[in-house]
Amino acid sequence: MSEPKYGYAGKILIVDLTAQKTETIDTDPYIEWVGGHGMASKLFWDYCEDKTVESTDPKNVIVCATTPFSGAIVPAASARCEFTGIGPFSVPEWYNRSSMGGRLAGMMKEAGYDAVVIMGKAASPVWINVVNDRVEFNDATDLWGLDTFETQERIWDEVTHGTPEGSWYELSGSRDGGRTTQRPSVMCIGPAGENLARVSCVVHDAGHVTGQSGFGAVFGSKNLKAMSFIGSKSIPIADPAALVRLRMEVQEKFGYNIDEGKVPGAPGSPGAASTVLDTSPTVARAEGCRGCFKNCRNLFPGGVGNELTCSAGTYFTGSGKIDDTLEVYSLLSKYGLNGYEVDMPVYLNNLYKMGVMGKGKEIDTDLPFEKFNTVEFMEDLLHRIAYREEIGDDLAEGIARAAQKWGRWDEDTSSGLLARPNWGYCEHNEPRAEVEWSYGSIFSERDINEHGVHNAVYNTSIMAVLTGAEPPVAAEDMAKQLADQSGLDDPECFNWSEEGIYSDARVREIHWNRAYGRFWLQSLGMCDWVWPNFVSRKHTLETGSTYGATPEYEVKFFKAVTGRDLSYEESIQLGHKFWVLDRAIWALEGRHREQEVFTNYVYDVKTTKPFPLVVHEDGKWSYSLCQGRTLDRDKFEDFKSRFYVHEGFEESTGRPTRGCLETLGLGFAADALEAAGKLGA
Amino acid sequence: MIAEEERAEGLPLREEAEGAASEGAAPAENVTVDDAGAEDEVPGMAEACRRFPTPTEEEAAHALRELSWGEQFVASRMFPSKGGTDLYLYSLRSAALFLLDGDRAHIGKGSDQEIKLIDVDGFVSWVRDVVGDGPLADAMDEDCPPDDPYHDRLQAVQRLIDLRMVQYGGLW
Repeated sequence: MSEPKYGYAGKILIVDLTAQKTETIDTDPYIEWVGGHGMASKLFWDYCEDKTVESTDPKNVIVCATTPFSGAIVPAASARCEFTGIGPFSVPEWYNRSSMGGRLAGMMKEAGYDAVVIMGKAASPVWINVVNDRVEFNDATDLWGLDTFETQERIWDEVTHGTPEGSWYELSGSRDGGRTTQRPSVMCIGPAGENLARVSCVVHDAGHVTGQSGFGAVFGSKNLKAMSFIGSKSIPIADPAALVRLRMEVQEKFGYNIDEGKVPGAPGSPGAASTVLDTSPTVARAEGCRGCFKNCRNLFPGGVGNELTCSAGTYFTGSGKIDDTLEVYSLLSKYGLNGYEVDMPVYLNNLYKMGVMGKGKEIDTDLPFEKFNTVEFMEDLLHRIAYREEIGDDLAEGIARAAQKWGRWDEDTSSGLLARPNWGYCEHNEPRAEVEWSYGSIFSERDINEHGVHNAVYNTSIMAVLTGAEPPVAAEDMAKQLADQSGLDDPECFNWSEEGIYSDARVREIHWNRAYGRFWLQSLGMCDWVWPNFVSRKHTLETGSTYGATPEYEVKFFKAVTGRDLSYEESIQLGHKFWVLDRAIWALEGRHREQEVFTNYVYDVKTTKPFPLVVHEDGKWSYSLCQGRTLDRDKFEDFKSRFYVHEGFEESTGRPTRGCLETLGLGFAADALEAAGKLGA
Repeated sequence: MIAEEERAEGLPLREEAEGAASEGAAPAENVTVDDAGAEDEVPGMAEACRRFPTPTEEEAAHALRELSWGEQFVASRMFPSKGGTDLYLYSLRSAALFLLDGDRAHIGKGSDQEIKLIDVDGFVSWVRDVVGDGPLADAMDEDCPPDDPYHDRLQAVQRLIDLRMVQYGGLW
């Protein structure tokens, strides 16, 4: 590169595990793809010659891509590293994605790389050590079999030359090799990945994982135990002063006051972004990803359960003992299992109670169900899954494939006993009502796991609804606010009534939702726990407004870091482009409209739990509890058709057309689809 | 990550936190039904005995028994980060653990704000008709008027089940 590209390290590392060689290429040609997912998808397109191979085939390619924001101090946006490749978990397998927070992305850039492309398969277990520009393959035979904590500690020790934590050490033998006190950022697999469990993940530090993908098995299939990054380079920022100022502004206007104590309000509400961490005398203290101001994770005095958050943090609560919850959380991380993907104990116990699972039963297993709701049961279960022992061999395939093998899939997804609405993924939020989530998921590759709209609508209103109080933001105001901030300008886009969820306005909302997510969340690594930042009440007393930081601050941060002008509208167009490239990859992989159908319970079993969402019914806006609802099959199919047309996809197949692709500058994808007979007409 | 040998002996149960995010009463300490005359010594026992007749051992065993498929109560909990999860409760004890644990140490910033969702009327019927604890069900009927907001009804359920579990020998 002749001049610095602000926000970028400047190089991409291409790793050939088969030949145990690496190549470094310039980031320049990929900057138009921005970073994160956009960059990863283009790299996958370029380097994965056969996109239809199985996930554990050596020809599968894994891309780990940082973003221009990685390692900077963009609030809640400086830590995420995007991972893409053919993922083992989804049913069926296809090009998939995950991301990981912590320290990895920033350190990867400080070592000199914007992305890493991993190809081939090593002949025997290896780990790769990246120290600034030096890349080394190392024999991982003595690491293979270790859990992720043991693996990382060994690698830290090796890379730091045994230096005590916090002390200075030289990164290399040369005078200009750089010095640091940092521990390397290591991503690795545990026994689950080594045993090609589809429910496995890549793990970094104590609790950062590539969830909902099965990428741990891809690493395992490549005999790649770990990659370690440590660097002493700087990341060029176009306008550091502006970046600092903007961060302070976001903290001031939309953050929290550490001295104020916990702000009462709806649990998990956007006020959570302005809710100070729990300061009561507990056993935990806050911890977060690099550059975050929200810090949603915990550290504990004994170290067990460190970095606990999210799904895995509540994986086991059946004994009522906190120690047990922490222990099981750490077990998940150590084995390299994803809490979401092994979210099956309740279902298994139900099968046991039904009399179809157990010793000598139709699904024969000696799992100790008499000890259900004890940590002993969980230890046994997770061990079996990680090592594919006994029933664990079925469960390591994911509960969807296991249920299919047992002949229970149709029955249990029809009744809702096994709530897996699409692609084998857990139900995350209510698919029969919260359609920006369920539609976004069925039209994409997985559970979208993007909380922005949900945080604004559900989390703001739920406690008020349950306590009989007035919601802090009235329904009509909420719809208008979302419409304003999203740029859709039509409140009907945020109408979750039984008619509204099939409307043309909702088509536009899904288009926007996918595009915003692909660009800001997955290509710039902005954490969905804060972004899009729709509702904030920190400044409401002074301003009278509940508007959050979106869309003003995303583009400001982009300018401050990269020096490039990018309008919010352009960002949505780019996000759409990146998403359509993914649709093209899925089309190559055989994806078809007929697959984009929810499991039966979504259509046939009515909701019972209160799930407050904004509705516009009989001329009035209100929060409905959305009880007694199902999705209508015919109406959803009609919606699907209109959505495809809106996106430029062939109505009968859902495949992108040449016109759609070329308009987006994806003519190369159109050519490939045409050659494969998979181009939409 | 700290070596196992440095792990603390056990994490203390903490008092209920201030603030609107906490739900439910802290469960009373463990006592046995057989402690005759212990009403004044066991926290919550006196109040429990004012509210409910003291159960016999057989009644307690019956109420706390493990239930079979078809007898479960399906509850739900909602975490901001994880979303909703259905829980199948196969005993009154499991129900009490679910309703009362309250994540009292706030172990997860995304998970420290759990919302417990039950069909209150359905739960009362389950306690009466399936679990077989008529006095507990009657008390819930009395303290959970149908027109009260859900949160108030839930808290009443939690208070009552907490007291009843004191009589049954506690939870922890």
